Amino acid sequence: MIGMGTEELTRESGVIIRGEVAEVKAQWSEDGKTIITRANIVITNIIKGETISNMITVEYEGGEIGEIGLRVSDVSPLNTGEDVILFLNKSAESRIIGDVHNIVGKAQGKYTISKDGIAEKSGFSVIGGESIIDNNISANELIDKINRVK
Amino acid sequence: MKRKISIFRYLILTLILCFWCSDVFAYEVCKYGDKNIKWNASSVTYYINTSGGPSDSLTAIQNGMNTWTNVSSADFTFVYGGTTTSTANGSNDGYNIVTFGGGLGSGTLAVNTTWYSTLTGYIVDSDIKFNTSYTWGTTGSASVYDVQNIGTHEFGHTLCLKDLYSSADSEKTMYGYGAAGETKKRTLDTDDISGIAYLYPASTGGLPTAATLISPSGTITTTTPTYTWNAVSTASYYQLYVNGSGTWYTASAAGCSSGSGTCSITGSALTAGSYTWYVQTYNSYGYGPWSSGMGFTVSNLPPSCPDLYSWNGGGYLNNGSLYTGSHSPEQEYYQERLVTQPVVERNNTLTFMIKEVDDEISHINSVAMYYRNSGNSWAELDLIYAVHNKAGDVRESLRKRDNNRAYTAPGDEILLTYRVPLGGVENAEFKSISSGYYLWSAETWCQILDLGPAITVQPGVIATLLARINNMSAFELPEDARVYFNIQGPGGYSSNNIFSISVELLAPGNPQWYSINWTVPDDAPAGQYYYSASVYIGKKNITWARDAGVQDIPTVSKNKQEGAKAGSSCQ
Repeated sequence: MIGMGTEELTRESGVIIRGEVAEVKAQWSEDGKTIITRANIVITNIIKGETISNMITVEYEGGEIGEIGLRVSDVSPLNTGEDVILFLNKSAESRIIGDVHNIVGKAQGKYTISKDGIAEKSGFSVIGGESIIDNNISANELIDKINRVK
Repeated sequence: MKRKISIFRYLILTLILCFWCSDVFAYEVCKYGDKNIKWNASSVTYYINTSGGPSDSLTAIQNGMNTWTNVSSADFTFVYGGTTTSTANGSNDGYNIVTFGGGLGSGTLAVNTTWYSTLTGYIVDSDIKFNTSYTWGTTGSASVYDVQNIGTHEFGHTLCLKDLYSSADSEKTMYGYGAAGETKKRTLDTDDISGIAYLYPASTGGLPTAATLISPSGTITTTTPTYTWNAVSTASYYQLYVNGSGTWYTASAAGCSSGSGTCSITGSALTAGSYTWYVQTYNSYGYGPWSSGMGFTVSNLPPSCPDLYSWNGGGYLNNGSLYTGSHSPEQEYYQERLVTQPVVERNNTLTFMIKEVDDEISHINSVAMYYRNSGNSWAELDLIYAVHNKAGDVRESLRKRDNNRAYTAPGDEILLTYRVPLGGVENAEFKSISSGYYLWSAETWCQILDLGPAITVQPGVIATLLARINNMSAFELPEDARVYFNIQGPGGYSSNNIFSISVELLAPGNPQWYSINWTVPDDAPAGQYYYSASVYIGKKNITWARDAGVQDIPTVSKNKQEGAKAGSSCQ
């Protein structure tokens, strides 16, 4: 992927939230050729944009159904219980029915917040991102950066 | 014990390495639960569809595959199955493809889609797709993305190695950041190699197997044994462990770099005692197992033998022991001694010397000297003189193997003079072939336990002199062993070692009386006489000296022309 800094991620995102991953469920796409995972996020902080409730659904390719699993590079799966900051856009091409959001920049748009409040990224390969991507910074500092962009 | 210490050190090193690994996250692997996601095979076949890619992309993609295949510490092969027209990227069809195309969305250079079993973690399908929204090249041009560079990274995902983001990972193929024109991911970092080796370790055939030992075993009589074991074809180093320490040798140093035949190392000097030795193997994959141990015992060593000296024009130089192999009392061998010191003729003769060592008496049956000029066979030199520094001419004694032998006591020398043969000996080699054995060593002693009672004798009368002898050595006394009687009397009368009798075959620890008859000379002056007894092997006095001072003082006879009473003493 092409590396996206916090400013670009913020500008490309309609919604940016902090929340806890409440439920993760994988299902086959409508054409049955791939696995799509949907995760429900309980929002604890809307950093940018608006949502209709305190829960939002995020979708990405990959996941596990029964005895089969799918890994897609540059996708960072969401895990139940994770505290995350997500850069999101409403999905326009969802391959399963429903009103869902995609993560902007694939895994680049996901930060996992550690117990000591550090925002970490993982699960992607980018071109030219080494100098612009914020990683391993405090969640509050990241949110401040986002707010300065808005 | 030392072996355990070595293993302990190895474990410590391993722990240190593990800490180091975790500290910098050397590599990361895909997980499902506690299972590693990986191929349950040592190879995977890829089909390549270069449509939409640069002209040389087929080669570039194969190069990326081969980069991983060529890791010797891993057992995994990417197989190029040929080209394909399939574009079913991401399908779980068991048909692994590399394609070029769109539809990946903005920002994605390439994607790796991997299907796996959640039951086992085993991968069942993996496809790679390069995004043709970007410009690709194969030469590392600064303005485009390099197919081999990104391809090698994506094949790392096929193995299920994950992206890395630390600045410490920046030179690794699995580093998650890259740039246009970048090519460094074409070459694997040691941590990339460790990653594939962790997931797909080379079979145990990568590590060398254990060596099998040959010798030494049992009882040996050398302090510097040569350790010999069968070569292990995959071993490049061997650790020889003996006597509390181990030393690593290259296979070349052990003479088995070919991986076949036997390896040999001559170890450091040992003292008498029992030992167990081991060999451990090693190659680039790591340490092989230790061999089974082999025990041996260094026995009490036979005494050394007289040395052979050669005249070099200015003096005599030592070529080492005349007998080069093992030897023991009364066991005779013909043995060669190659002359390694310069031999310089003088007055048309060649001079050698046999010199006895300090703790030995030897019995030399024969010594023949040979020479050969380049390309010729060995020929015997003509012995002109053989002069013993005490016994005089011993030439006949040394010429042939018979009962006419030459003896050498500590420090004795035999000068050997040979005629220079026709044609000269310039640049010639020399060797001796000798036979003989040592007669006595520091462990061979006899004790005079008793002498006969005081007696009164007259001139012309036969006096019987007695001595009870104890053999204190471990062997029967040899044929050359004799007890000598020495008589001292008034007026300077002396009969040193005139009378003797053989004590051959006297067994150890079984004292026996021996006697000689002395006819008192008619002119023997009247007075008190004493006699003593001593045991010799050849010309070496082996009487146990500590007894000399504790023998009884002889009774004095007052009769006219008295005979003798005894006291024993050493000579």
